[in-house]
Order: sequence, then structure tokens, then C-alpha cells
Amino acid sequence: MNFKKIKYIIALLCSLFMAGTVYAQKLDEPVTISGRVLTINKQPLAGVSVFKQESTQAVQTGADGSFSFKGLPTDQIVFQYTGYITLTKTASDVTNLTITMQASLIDASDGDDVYIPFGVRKKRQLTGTISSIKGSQLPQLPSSTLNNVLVGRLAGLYIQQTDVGPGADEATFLVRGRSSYNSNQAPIVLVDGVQRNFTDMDLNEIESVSVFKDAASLSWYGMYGANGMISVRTKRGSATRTRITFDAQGGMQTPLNLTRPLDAFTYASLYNEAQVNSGGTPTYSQAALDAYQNGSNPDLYPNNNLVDQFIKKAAPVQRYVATVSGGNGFAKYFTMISYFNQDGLFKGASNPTYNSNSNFQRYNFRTNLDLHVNKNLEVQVDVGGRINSLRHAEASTSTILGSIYTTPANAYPLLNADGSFGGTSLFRGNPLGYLTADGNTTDLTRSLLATITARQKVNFIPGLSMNVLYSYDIRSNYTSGYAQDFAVFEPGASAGTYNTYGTASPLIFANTDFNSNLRSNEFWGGFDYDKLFGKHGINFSTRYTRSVMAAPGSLEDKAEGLSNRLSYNYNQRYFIDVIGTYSGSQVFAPGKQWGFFPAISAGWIISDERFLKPVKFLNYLKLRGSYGVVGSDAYSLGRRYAYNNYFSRGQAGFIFGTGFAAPAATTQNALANPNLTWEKARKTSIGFDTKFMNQMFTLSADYFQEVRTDLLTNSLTPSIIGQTLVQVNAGKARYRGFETELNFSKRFDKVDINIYGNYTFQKSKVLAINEEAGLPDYQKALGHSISSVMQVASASTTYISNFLQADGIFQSDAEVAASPVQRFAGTVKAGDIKYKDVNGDNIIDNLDFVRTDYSFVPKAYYGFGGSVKYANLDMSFLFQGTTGRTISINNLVNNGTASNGYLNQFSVSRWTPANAATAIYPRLLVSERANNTQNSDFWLRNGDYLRLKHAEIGYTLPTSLTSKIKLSSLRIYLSGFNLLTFDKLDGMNIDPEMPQSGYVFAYPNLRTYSVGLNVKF
Amino acid sequence: MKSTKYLLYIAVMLLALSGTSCKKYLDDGSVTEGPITEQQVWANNDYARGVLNSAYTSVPDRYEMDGDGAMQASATDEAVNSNLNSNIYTFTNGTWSPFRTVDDVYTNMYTGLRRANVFLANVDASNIVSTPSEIVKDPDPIKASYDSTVAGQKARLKGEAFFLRGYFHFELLQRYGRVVLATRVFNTDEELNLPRNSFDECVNQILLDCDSAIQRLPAYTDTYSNTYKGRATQTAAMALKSRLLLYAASPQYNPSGDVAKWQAAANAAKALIDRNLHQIITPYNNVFLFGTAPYNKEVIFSGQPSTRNDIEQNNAPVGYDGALGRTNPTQEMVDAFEMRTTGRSITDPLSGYNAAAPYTNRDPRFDFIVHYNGKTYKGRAIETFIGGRDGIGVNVNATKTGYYMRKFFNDGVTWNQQSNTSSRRPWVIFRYAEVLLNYAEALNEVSGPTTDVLRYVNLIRQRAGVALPNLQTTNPTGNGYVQPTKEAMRERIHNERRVELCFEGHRFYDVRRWKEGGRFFNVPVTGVRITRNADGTFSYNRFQVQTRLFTDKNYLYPISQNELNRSPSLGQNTGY
Repeated sequence: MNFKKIKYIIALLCSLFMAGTVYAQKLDEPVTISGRVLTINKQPLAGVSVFKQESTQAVQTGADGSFSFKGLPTDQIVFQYTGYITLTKTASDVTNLTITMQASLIDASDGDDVYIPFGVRKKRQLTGTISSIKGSQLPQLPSSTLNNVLVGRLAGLYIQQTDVGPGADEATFLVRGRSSYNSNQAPIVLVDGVQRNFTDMDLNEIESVSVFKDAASLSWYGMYGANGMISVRTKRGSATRTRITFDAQGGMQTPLNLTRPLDAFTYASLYNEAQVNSGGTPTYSQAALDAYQNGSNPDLYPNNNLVDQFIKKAAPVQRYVATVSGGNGFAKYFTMISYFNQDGLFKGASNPTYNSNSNFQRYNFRTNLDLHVNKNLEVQVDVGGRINSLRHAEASTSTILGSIYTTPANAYPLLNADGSFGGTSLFRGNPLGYLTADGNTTDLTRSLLATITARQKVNFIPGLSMNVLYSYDIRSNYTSGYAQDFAVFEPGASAGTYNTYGTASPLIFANTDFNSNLRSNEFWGGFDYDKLFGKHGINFSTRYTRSVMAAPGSLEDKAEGLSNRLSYNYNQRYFIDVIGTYSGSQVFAPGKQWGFFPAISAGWIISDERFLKPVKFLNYLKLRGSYGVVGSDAYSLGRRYAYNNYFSRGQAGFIFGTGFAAPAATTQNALANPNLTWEKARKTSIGFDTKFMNQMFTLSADYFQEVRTDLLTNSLTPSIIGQTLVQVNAGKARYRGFETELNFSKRFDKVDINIYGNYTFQKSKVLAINEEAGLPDYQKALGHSISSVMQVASASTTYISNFLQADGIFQSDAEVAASPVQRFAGTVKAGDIKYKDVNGDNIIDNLDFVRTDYSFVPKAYYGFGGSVKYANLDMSFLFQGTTGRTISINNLVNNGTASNGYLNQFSVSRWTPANAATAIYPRLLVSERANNTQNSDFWLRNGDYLRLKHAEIGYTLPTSLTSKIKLSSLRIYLSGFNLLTFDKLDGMNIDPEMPQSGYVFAYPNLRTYSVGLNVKF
Repeated sequence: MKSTKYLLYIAVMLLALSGTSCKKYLDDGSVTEGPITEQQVWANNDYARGVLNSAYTSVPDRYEMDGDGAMQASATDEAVNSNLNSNIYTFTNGTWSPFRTVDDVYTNMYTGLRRANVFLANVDASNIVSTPSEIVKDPDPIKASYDSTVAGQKARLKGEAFFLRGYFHFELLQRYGRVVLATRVFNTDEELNLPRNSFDECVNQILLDCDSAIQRLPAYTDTYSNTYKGRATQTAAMALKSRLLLYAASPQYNPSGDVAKWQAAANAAKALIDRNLHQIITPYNNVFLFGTAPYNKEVIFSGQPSTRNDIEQNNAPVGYDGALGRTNPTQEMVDAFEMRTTGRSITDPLSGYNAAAPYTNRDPRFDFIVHYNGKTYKGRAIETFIGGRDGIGVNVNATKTGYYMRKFFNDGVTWNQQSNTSSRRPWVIFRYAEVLLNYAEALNEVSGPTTDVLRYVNLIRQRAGVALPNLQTTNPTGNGYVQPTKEAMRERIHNERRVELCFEGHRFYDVRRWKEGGRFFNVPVTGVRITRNADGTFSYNRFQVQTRLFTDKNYLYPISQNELNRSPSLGQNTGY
């Protein structure tokens, strides 16, 4: 870790801090601070806390609202009273002063701060669409990523888990919907205003998470904001309170769904059936089948259940966090350190030298400092760090799981009689070998994240301040481990001889590797002007930004922009914001790099109008709307500077001469598109926020639409050009929908109840795309939804939209003969899938595929949950669900290779003449399988699900008890994650969110149970 | 002090803001991580030459066509592929269509054509400098001195580009029948939905490119210095002409039987033969083994000579170190080998063929080409009998026909071992034996079985180590007798070609150009089920392995529907 750098930063802080102190000490003698606090109606206000900002001691105003104490003239004096807006005054001004405190308006109290880019607004003042959640509202989960805690919490944010496992928890984020067919539209993620990873943070360092969804909140980021944004703020210290907390959690993770491999007898019987179906002869004799059934000779007729043998029923996980926060008027601090440890599910994965079960450990630390250098200068210095250590077997998890899931039970004995690893020419991946004799690797990733911000008030223009932010993040990766290889042995022709497959090599230390040394910097500098002229409030912000991401040996990635925002409000009732950003991207040709991204938004607290005052049950109603343009250059062009033609230098794929050397080759890259430009997202959002029935209910709803133009789409040039081409900006698509959030909070006597829910509905449509001229209408993407069905394989994920329409399974050869000929396999027989002849040409071929709207992105996604608190007991839960989502089971049911005969646990439900009526899947085949493996709606299933994502029950020890042991609070709790799932899969026992998990090659999705302890000192 | 601080801040801000006008922060694309601009390419000797080198990348290697070791032989009556799910069967199971293409080299060939054309368009103005010793010897002293000048070397490089352009067009032509000729660099802003050129236009253009190449290239591989061997040569261009004209004269493209076309084909082959630069080498298998004698005198042009063991790993009998046993010669292929002593086909009563010992006394090439039951390989006898270590059904990859392919093998090569041995093998594209057969075939069509026809076929039969009896038309009871008719001779030449050039990718196109698809490709292929008797002898039962479908449309490849959609003017081939 780069402690040197941290030392420098701390030294810098100290000097700043000293400077501030010296400056303060030079000032005059103490003065008396005194006055009276009145309400707007000139009534005295008693019980108001009045204190110096740097002190923790407060005086209360008397019955007449008066107060008096001593202080320095430069002290900041704070006036705080519940339900009123907190006031801060300079001490020198507070000599016998009459202070008027204003009752705070709805959504404008101290806790209603919403952070917008480089600014803060009360929720009331907000005109854009931002959904936020506080860190304290998120469940404490021993989870390797924060994806898991956010799922289902925020309207307009869809999180789909795509992978699980120690250090491999992956999820895709989508804000509102899809409007581009070029990417999955990952939103940008900001942590404290700077682009950073957030999923690896610890929950306890997070103050709040916000999702920016509309043009008003995004066009500040110009070219980079079109896909939405997730903004995370970290916790900061408080001048008034010192607090130490400690959290400990321990739990178990268990697989949700897991393949149930066929036993040797079933496997061999089905294999024979498949052979016969393919016109062959049975491979296994009756004697062999009997031997599999009675297990009489396990060396010759093995019957392994590899899943039971190598996958644990549960793996431990733990997490520990300590935080210390506090401060005074000059300096506030927040410090956190955390440790997380997650074990993998591999069983028996160790040998005396190393362990190759996966294990993920993470250390997070953070120190956030706020320095009040003098009355005009505020400096924040934030330093965060993270160490991720992922240990795993040398072979990839998918390779090992593939060998565990798909090796037939009778393939080989795991160990031969002589103790060597078993294997055959067809099955060379012995899981025992992978786990105990193949080496392991530890990937150590270390990150340092530092930000310094400064705010200098410009006193000669009241309300004006200058602001600078500079961030410096570095990340590096260190790989080490053990290297070893194993061979597998198959009994040879004569007893005692073996055929060897693979190359065994002795155990050595693996080559260590230090790589991916990344640095990224962002600079944001500019002015803010905040001023109230009577009832007219004006805020203006402008920032110039540059950012760079650098890695050794490659060109830097840079961005540049100038963002401006003007907010105006009248009487805290009418709000209007105008945002205009110039943003530049290096993706485009000089002269075409800069775009202007304007947005306008407005809000109206209509409930404050006289005509709505009589409506008593309505406490608050705000209407708001926004429209603007945001850009995206985040599409993959496969290369840099796709606006210029280039040639790559390398070696020819051909060798010459008696030295057989590949000569230098110069290859033209994809032909450039000099007119390349960014995607333009025109976002409209209209909505309202309301509170009613004594603010018991809070409801927000938004209608949204985004039309995205200049999407990249294929250039349909005939292949005779002999060169690939960079795509052209000729596409257009949109999404539309609505989202709503409802919250209910009520205290019944001793019971606190909170219920909340959110629901988002969206629909996308392709409005323009370059498609080949000869495509029949029913195969065109135009007019269909953007996203498609996801088919996950170990090497890649494919997205499919065109499907054959299955018409059940052929029940007889006569039916085959009477039906249109199906041209995917040479022979089609009873038991094969029957397809509909879409174009009526009596032939089923590629012309019978139909473009569909089936999609992995749900039409609607929602979450709802609640919490109840009674005395010392508390309980909470969260459900999350989707509707209108489709998954494919094609590669689950058809998983396999010629070696294992394409047999798996689903093969049992295949078609045979005997069970023709009830068969779920087509007949078994080892060859000529193409008819039954086509992408057809036969393999599509409803991917809707509702999941009890999280539930927790906690007990806080009575204060009478905790105070005795000098604790301010102690809570113990029990929590569970992924507890229950409801789906429409007819008991197929697959995960509706990630159908591949636990099958084929993929790690099973996990359920987590944990117990936790939270202590506050 | 305060004001200086402000000034400092303002200065910093302005400095930062001034960046807005300074466009330099975002790159202009003039500096890239690796790629260079076109100007840089032609300004540099190595880069400019590299453009031509990149065109060679499209020269095929056809040992592996489906990602799993399938060879095109398995789409003919030569072989069956042991992976029954291979897409190589798209050719033969009736599913071949514009929507389901296989071996669709369309894009790859036009990529090669573009590279050759880009080079031809720019080479004259490029900064190519002369490098010494590209060519070791040219018998002509004037030519020799010219070869070392910049102009001479540019001319030679152009010659290579012309050859490649002709060759890539031929690869397209033999598949699609006729194609759009790419004789210049196409641009994005022009109309590229072009109709195909006629077959004759294509032939003439390829001939023109061959002639342009012949004028500029060194005579043959040996004329190149060591570093440059393997590049295009005069004889390569002449061999291409020979094959092209033979195709153009064949019934598929010459339905009226215009003898002048056969004469042209004969002349083209004879021109190469008369150069007297190439010869039949020995033993037969050394033609393909560059590990022994790279760039031998028989090979005229080949794909890159990689060192490899995948040929053995993919095709060896499955009992050997878990090989994949992919290419399984059919019984039809095995039956095509004559009897060694009599030089007669096994169907001939005088051949001396013994069905109980089918592998004895056969054409010696049989041993080089086929791994059959009882043959010794790597120290043990191959066991393709039922229940044998390599026999039918022993595992999913086991032979489907009772045979495995041996051709192209180097017996010293190992795979799936602690440390493997590889050997250098190119995919041979043109070799001298083919040119002799081209000549004999064309001449026979012109004049019937003259002594010249017999002489050139017999050159192949006389190869040391093969030494089959010469074909003769005079003694009906003698060895190697052929009836003295054009038709009888044609059959023998066709059979000689089938055997000599088997698995080299010829049969697929030869049967098509002979218009004999129905006869050979629309009938089931067979194998042999060998059972070991109690007394150690074997019984041989012929059985049907696979049905094969061939219809008239299959004489040509379909244009893929994707391509047709982009370029409807191409028009689809008849029947698809």
C-alpha cells in the first residue's frame, strides 16, 4: 500500500489545520453572545439549542427566548430546534440580536438534503428526478457487493445479478429502461462526485445512494450521462458528537439451485437410448447396466455423484466493521475500517501446501476530514483504500464446475486403484485433480482513492464562492500462487498399464505478476453563487472539468467539459432550473468532439397555493417536470479513433522461408466513419411528490420517455468491399414508462410501522435501425423492443430475438411426413420438435424465424418491504420481483457434448413413444441434433419472479443494561438473504433470475443466513 | 495577504478554464497506441511490404474446417467424419442453403482481394527500397540484375499481388460459379450492389492476372532466396492457369464440349511441364512433410508450412492417446486403390483381388493414405475390428467406416503427451502431380489415349515407392490395361486423380466439374464391419454408414442470404 502518499496527505492536513488555528488565535478578546429567538409571528421560542459550532455544549433559550454565553467573535453560532430550519450566525453579529427562526417547510428540514451534482438542495427544491436511500436504511448483509443491498429498493433502478461466487458477484444496472441497442447501458457510478467503483465499498461507509434519472439531474454530465447515474456519498464526521461503532456478522451461504446429476445406471440407459435413436447400437450391455445398478465393481463400473462429492452444503461468510467519527468546529472526521471474508463452496479442495477452494477477503478503510480552515475557506480531504484478495483454483471456476456438473457418473473412478487420478480420453477434467493438484492463484487488488476539495468564499461579492475538487485514485493488481498440473490415467489394454492424458508437473511457486497499474484523476473547478433576494432565490454553479485515466503502455483516456446550472425559486414555491453543459469526448474527430447538452426543469408546490389550502388531508403536493438532452459516447467501436483510417502493424498469419518466420504485416483496420457522433438521449420526465393524511403517506410518481437518436447501427455494405466498417449513427429507439414510490409511516403507541414499495414499468421500441433489405417483415427489428433473450454460456453471453415457433413435439413419423419439411437436421422423426411454417412455403428453414419481443429486461420491476419496531424488538423485510421477463433453458436442457451424449438431469423428461403424451423435451440424440437445438420458443420460459430478498429480526438490549457496561447501545440480529422465491417455472428448480446458476458451468446462486452484533460506544 | 490568495485562486481557475479553448486536451487521433496512418504505411519499406504479406493470410489451410478437425473430404465419397454433429455434413445432408452455409469463404476471399488491390494501387508511389538477396538466381543475367533494383522488386511484389488476386478469385469462382470481380479498391461511398461478372469474364480476368504475375515473378520456389521461399512464383501462376482452364473445359462449365477449351487447358499444363522445373518426388508422403524436405520440387504453391500435430491428433485412430479419429476413409475410397501387381481395379476379374485379404497387394499409396485394420502404427497393430481398441463404437469418436486417414501424417508426431512432437506440414495447393493429371485429362479429351496421355499418367504411377504397372492400351491381358477409348481412359485418369490427390480437396470439385454429382455424391457411403474370428482371421462385411444427398443445385455453393440481402444484384445460384 502506498503509505508514503497517505503520510504526505496527513502532513498537508496538519499544516492546514495549524494555519487555521493560528489565524483564529490572533483574534480579539471573548465577547458575550446574547439575544432572543422569536418565531416569524414574533412569539418567543423556548428550548432552542444555541451552541458554538466547535463545541458540544449547548445552552437552551429561556421561556422568553433569550440566551447568553461567552465566545470568540469568529465563532459560528448554531440555532437548532426541531421543526425549524437550523440557523448559523457569526458570533460577532450576535450581540443582543433578535433571531427569527422559521418553521421548516415540508421536505425542507435538516434531513431533507439531496445532493445534486456539485450542489445540495432540499428535497422540496428539487426539480429533477432523483431517488435516494440512506445508508442507514439499507440492510446489514454480509455480502461481497453492494448490488445485493440495493436490489428492489429504488424506483427506476433495475439490478440484475449476472454472476455469483466469492469475488465474482456481478450485476448489471439499468436506470429506467433500454433505449440503445449498442450496449446494456450501464449507468455511470460516482462516489463523492468522482467516477469510482462502489460495489466493493463497505455498507458502513455509505451515507446515501441516489439514482439520477432525468435530464435535469444528468445533463450536467453531458456526454457521459445518458445512461443515468448512481451517486454514492460517504459518511462524514459531526462537530457535535463523537461516536464509535462496531459491527460483527457471521453467516452461512447455501446454494439455491444445484444440478442433480444422473446416476450411472440412468445415465447408461439413457445413453443407449440416445445411441439407438441416432441409428447406432447400444453402448452399454445389460451386464454393464446391472453392474451400475448394484455397484458391485466400482473401479470398472463407477457411479460418482460429483456434485455431492465436491460441492459443500454451506460455506461461511463474515464481516467486521469499526467506525469512529467526531470532531469540532475546525476539523471533523469519519474513519472506518472493515474486513470481509467469504469462502467458496468447493469441498475437499486442499492439499498440504495450498487450498484451492475460492476465498474472497476484503479490507476497506476510509478517513474523511472536513477542515474549517477559516471562515472563508473549507477544505475536505477524503482518503479511502481497499484491498481485495481473491484466492481461487488455477482452473477457472467454470471449468471446474463444468467438470463436476457434466462428467457422467460412470466416466471414471476419481482415483484409480494405484492412487492416480482417473480419466479417459473423452473426460480428462477430473475435478479432484483440478481441486487438489492444479495449483491456485491469489489476485490481490489494492486501491487508493483520494479526493481533496476546497471552497473559498469570495467576500467582495456576497454569495460567491470558488470551488475546486481534485481526485487521485490508483489501483494495482498482484497475482501470486502455486503452479502445478496433473495428468489423468485410463487403464490400458493389459492390466496395470495406463494411458495418460495431460501433463503432470510438480508443485512450484507460480510466476508472480504485478499488473494493471491504473491511475485516474478528475478535476472540477469553478464558481458557485447562492443568494436570496427577498423571496427570489438564485443559485448558479459553473464547473470546468478534466479527467484522465492512465495505464502504463497505453494512451490516456480523457474527458473534458464545462457544466453550468442556474436555479431560481420564488418563495420556496416555484422552482426552475436551467442546465447547459459543453462536453467533449476523444472518441470523435477533432471539430466534432464537443456537444452542448441543455436541460430545463421546473417544480411547483401546488399545495401551498391558496386554492388547495382547504384540502385538509393533503399535506403536500409538488408537480415537477423536466426535458433535456444527454449524450453517450460509451459504445464500443472496437478501437480508438474510429473516425480515422488506420493500419495495424503485426505479423502476417503466414510464414515464409526456410526459417519459417512470419513477416511483418500491415493490416487495414475497419474503415473509419469520420462523421461519428454520440448518442443523443432526449429525456422527458413528468411527475409529482405528495404527502397526505398527516404525512402518513408519501407518494411519488413519474412518467418518463427517452428517445435516443444517432445510435450506431451496421453499415450494410456488401462484403466485396473486403473490409469491416465502423458502424454509422443512423439508429433511433426509445423507452417509455412510469415509476412510482409509496411510503407509509406511522407510530401506533409503542409500535413504529413503516411500509414502502416501488414499481417501475417500461417498454422500449426500435424506431430506426439499418437492416438488410431482403429481410421479411416478421424478421425485422424495427418496431420491436430493444432487448432480447439472454443465453449465457461459459465463454460468452448471446442475446437472441429471433425464434422459431414450436408446435409441440412430433408424435409419429406419419405426422412428420405430413408436415412441412424441417431443414435443420438431415432426419426428423417422431419425438423431434415441430415448428410452424411461418411463411407458408412448406419448408421450415431460417425464413421461419420470427422477431419477437421476448426480453431479459423485465417490463416491470418492483420492490416492497416494511419494518416494525416494538420496544426493543425490530423486524424488517424486502420483497423484490419482476414481470414480463423471458428466460431461455435451451442451453440447460441441451447442455452436453458428444462425449457425454448430451445427457443431463433434464434428459429424464425426454420424449419416448411410451410417454409421448407427457414428455417435456424432445427425444434423445447423440448426432443430428440441430433440429432440436434451434432457438425456438419451445425453450423459452416465463422469467417472472417474486423473491423475499431480505428479512431481519433484531433485539436491542435495554439501555439500563448497556449503560452498565458503558455502551450506548447493543443490538443483536438475525438476517437472511434470498430466502424465498416464487416463480412460474413449474418446479423446474432453476433460478429464474440466473437460469444457468448451479448448472452447466455456473456457480449456484446463494442464500445467506447470518447473525450480527452492532455495538455503539 | 487575502487578496493575493484570491488572485492565486482566480489564476488557478482561469488556467483551468483556458483549457476549454485549448482543444489539444482531447486527442486528435494523430498519435495512436499501435496503428498508423495510410501515409505512414506507404512511406515505410517494411510497412508497405507488410500490406502484401497480410494478403497471404487469406491463403487457406483446410486441414480443419469446422473447429473440430473436419476436412472437406468428409463432404465427398472419400470419407466420413467421426463427429456426426459436424457442420461439414451441411454439404451432404440436404440442409445446405442460403440460410445455412458452410465453408462460406466469400468475405475472407474479398478481404484478401482488397489487400492485394490496396497494395497494387499504392506500391508504385511507395517508399519500398530494394533489399538484397531476395532471389538467389535467375538464369537470365539481365533479369537477375533487374531483380535487385527497386523497380525490379516492386515489379516482383506486384507479381505476387496479381497471383493472389487471381487465386482468390479462383477460390470464389469454383464455389459460386461466377462472382463480382474485385480488380480495384472499393470505397464505402460508391454503389457496391454490383451484378456478378459472367463466368468467362471471371476466367479471363484470372488468366490476365496470372499472365501479369508470370511476367513479374521468379520462376519457382528455388529461385527465391531462403527467406523468401514460399511466396508466389511463375509456376504457381501457371498451375493456377492449368487448373482454371481445366475447370472451364469440364462439362460443368463447358456443356457443349468445346474441344478448344480442352486444348487450352492442355496447353496451359504443358507450358508448366515444359518449364522442367518441378518433378515427382519420392516417397509419396514426403510431398506433404516439410519437416523432411521443405519446399520440395513437387509442391508448386502451398498454404503456410506450420509446424503442427493437430493433423494426427484429429485424425489418428482413437486408441492412440485419445486421438479424435475424425476423417474416416469410406469403403468407396478404399476400393479405388488398384492392385499392385496387376495395375487393375479390384472389380476387374484379372486384378487378383482377394476379398478375404482385402488389404494385401494393393496400390502402395493405400498404405500411405489409409490406416486400416492390422496395419502397424506407433508400434502396434491398428485394431478397427469390432471390439478392437480403435474399432467402431469403442467411443463416440471412433471410426464410423472401419478406416482412419493416414495421409499427411508424420509418424513421429505425438500428442496428449508430457511433451509433444510436432512436424511441419503445409496445406498443399498446387503440386506437380496434379498438373500432370490435368494435362493427361485435357489431352485425352482432345485426342483420346495417345502415348502422351499415357506417358504423363504413368509418370505418377512410376513414382519410386509406388511403382504401379504402367497403363497401356495394347495388351488386354497385360498389367495396367486400358481399353483404347477416350471414355475408358477418362475413367482411369479420373480414378488416378481420385487416388493420387485424395483428401487434398480436389474430389469435391472434380466430381462437380465432371457433372457426376448424382453418380458419386447422391448415393450412400459405406464402411466395413470387421469381426475377428475365433481362429484369428477376420471377416469383412460392407455396411452403409451414411446416406448422402446431392441435387443439381449443389453443383455450386449458395450465396448466403445475408450477402444477398445486402447486395440483391448478385442473384442467387439456380436451385437455392
